[in-house]
Amino acid sequence: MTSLPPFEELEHTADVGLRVYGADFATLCVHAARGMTRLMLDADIPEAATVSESISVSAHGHEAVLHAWLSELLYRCAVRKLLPVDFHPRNCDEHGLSMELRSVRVDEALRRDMSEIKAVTWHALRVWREERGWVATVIFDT
Amino acid sequence: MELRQLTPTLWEIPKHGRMRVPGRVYASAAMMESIRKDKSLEQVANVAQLPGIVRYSLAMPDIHWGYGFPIGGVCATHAEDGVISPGGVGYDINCGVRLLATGLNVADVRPRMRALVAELFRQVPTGVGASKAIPKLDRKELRAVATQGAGWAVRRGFGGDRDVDFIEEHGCLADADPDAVGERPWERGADQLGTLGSGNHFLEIGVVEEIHDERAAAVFGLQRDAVVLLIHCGSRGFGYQICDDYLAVTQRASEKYGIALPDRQLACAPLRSDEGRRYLGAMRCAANYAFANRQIIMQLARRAFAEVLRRPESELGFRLIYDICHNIAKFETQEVDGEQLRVCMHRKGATRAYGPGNTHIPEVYRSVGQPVLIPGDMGRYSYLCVGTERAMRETFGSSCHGAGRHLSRKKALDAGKGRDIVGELRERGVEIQATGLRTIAEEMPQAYKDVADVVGVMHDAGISTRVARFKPLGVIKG
Repeated sequence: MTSLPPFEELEHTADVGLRVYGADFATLCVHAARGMTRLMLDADIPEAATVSESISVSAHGHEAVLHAWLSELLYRCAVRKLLPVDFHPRNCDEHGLSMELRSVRVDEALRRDMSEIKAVTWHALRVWREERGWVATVIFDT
Repeated sequence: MELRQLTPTLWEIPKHGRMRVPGRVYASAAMMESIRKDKSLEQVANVAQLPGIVRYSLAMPDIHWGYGFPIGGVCATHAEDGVISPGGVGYDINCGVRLLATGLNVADVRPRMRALVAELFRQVPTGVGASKAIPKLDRKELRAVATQGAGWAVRRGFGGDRDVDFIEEHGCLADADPDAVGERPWERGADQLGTLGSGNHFLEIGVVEEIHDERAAAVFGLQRDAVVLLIHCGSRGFGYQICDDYLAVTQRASEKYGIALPDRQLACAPLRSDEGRRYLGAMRCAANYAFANRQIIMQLARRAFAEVLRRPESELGFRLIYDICHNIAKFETQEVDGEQLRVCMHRKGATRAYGPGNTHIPEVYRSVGQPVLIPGDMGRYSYLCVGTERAMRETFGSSCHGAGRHLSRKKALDAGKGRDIVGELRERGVEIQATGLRTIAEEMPQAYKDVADVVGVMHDAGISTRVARFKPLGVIKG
């Protein structure tokens, strides 16, 4: 996580949001995940990722896939205390995605620096294609 | 959007497009200038499209842009042909506020404030993923929490038998259905009972700095300079996951039952459908988890006071004044056009505010009305108000729930850069301890609107009237 991922924070008074860009849908999902991790931890992420795993989600439509993917990461963060930091897409389309990822364990020191995201909302969730690539907007409940 | 001002504190969005009823928003003219700048009025109009909505889509003066429903939104749907919407409750199901009186005076605690805050912080886990306030519960015990609410906590030694008489719905929503809860909420909720969490949740030691209504304050046993405790939190990951799971279920249900939605976050299901009933059953489990959560935190706070002040808990005069929900859906009987109507009340960032004489409020409070607890920010003040007869007529017995943010979290962080917010608060007489410094910046007083303005609109409109104002002395946060 040394280079800046292509996402920007959207202004939302009560909650937080992201506008995400990607050359293709798979890259868009990777950048959305990086953006969400950045919202949860606006600090240097430890370089030594400790857990590698594969995740698959399925849904109907690009927006639903993006929602399922980010929600899956939030669930793993909450229950298994794993903060995802590195992503390698395998398959990714409007029916679902498979992703290899590395995560850092959320220890007490890391937890103190984190902000809570409760959920990925459906409000203003959009995925669309432009000439320069794919774009998404996502609002999180915080 | 067309907006008609009906009174100095009430505005109407006339019925247009697919709206089934008009929208009504309580706000001053100055507030409305700001409200118009975000999408919250559009959200009031969207809610007015829900099948079975009764009379109005309402918003309280702390209205702001939410997701699906606006924060501060109130909507009643007909119990027979109406819908239930998880977005009308929110992710933090039964987020709410609890007010506790003590027998202490400000002079008793001021010299020990730093130690009190430190001990509260030690006893009550805070922050992202906070856990282990009490031993992790197995599934059988979690199911008991989900069906018994605050009563479960009392039976495990957290508080006294009389506490439940001073909690909305006696601290337990009936007909909770643990079988309607999926696997993931249980996993997320297993070790989070008795924890505050993060964001705007807090535990605050306050002092009564002003009495506005002597008679009502006397009924609640409050005098000037008395020390109180305020607890603001909800159902933690258990509730978030139930909401998330049922948004998927109700999105499919909306398609199945042919309900056109202006926003997918407004996904809903007919109250009488299997999907609607299952969401209600699961949502009630989360509401009961939240009641138990606040009950446990209250007891942990009592212990912290006893340890720091080196006096038995029984000598400190703790007494639960009231506990209210502000993210909830419940069946209630409301008078509509002279008839008693069974409705499903959605309050999303809004508080029940029943008037005097109502049999759903504690008997000892019936002469003055239901306590309405309205926290402000951690630097200024919070309010205790009471519900009114007028609220019963105009807002289905509902009022506001808080100040509402003035700055986004990002802007608050920018505004806090290079500042010592903890030191600034200490100079104002507020001791604070939080898990993360970032939370303190995000939650600093200037990030919030002045809650006195919000409370003032509700008071002037006759919906909930001021009783007392509390100044914070010590705060713990996530």
